[in-house]
Amino acid sequence: MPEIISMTAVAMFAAGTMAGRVQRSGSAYSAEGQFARAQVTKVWEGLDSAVSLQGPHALLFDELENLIAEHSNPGWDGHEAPPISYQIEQHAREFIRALPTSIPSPELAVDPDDAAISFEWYGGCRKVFSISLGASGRLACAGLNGTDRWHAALAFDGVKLPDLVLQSIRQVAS
Amino acid sequence: MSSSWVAKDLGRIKHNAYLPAPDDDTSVFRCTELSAGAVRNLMSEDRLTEHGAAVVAVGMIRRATLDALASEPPKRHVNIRGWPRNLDPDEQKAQRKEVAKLIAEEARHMPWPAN
Repeated sequence: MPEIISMTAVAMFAAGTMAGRVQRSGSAYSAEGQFARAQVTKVWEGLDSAVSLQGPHALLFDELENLIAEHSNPGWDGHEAPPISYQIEQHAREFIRALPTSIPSPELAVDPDDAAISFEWYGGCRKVFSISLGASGRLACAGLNGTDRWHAALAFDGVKLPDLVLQSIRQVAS
Repeated sequence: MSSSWVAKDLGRIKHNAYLPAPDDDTSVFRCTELSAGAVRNLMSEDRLTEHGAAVVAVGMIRRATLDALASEPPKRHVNIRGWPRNLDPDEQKAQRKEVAKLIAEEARHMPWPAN
């Protein structure tokens, strides 16, 4: 989990350095000290969210690394499949970071036509929803739930998943 | 076949296995009445993967509104064609995923026999 380790390490280092500055300015904080104190608070708040990444989805970063390693050469499917691009990898990392902790972790796969990363939630027979995330950064979604079928192409801002996606995940994974 | 196309816990085939390649065809082999070993022998060495095969009835392909057309050589080779088309590539991908899921629901994993 290189992301988690590096984020935690950076946050801890920054917090320690800024805390030292505040202490040197004494109990009556200067403007510089107040600014530093506010920054320390922000760092600790950021650290909280970094720690939350160690929740149910943390292992997905490891899985993504393994997936990239297996699909890094053209023709990995025995035909003409392209390798996973750096851009797709970055989109996939953003997507994993945006997954709420309240939903189960998806299974990852790679699409043969464009090497998009696929995130799939399986809830049993004919109860499945998945998203393919390719170079465009948009979410190509499709689901089955009994006799219901649906698909959609949705924008993703890199931070928050669209409501339709969250509803679909909860529908099949409940 | 990519290892990521077989679900970890159940040996279930994921829909990604049936999505078409960049040439818009899904390349498969007709394997009626063949053993797993015989199916493995259908594939040339450069196309053979260690993860086994995904097997589905041709009728399921047609029920998903696609065509299965013989394309030999190699022997028993078949292309699945007729995938939905759309000017928006992400919309097209979403449509194709929906169809591929219908096929994958009826597919089973055929692991290669131990040597």
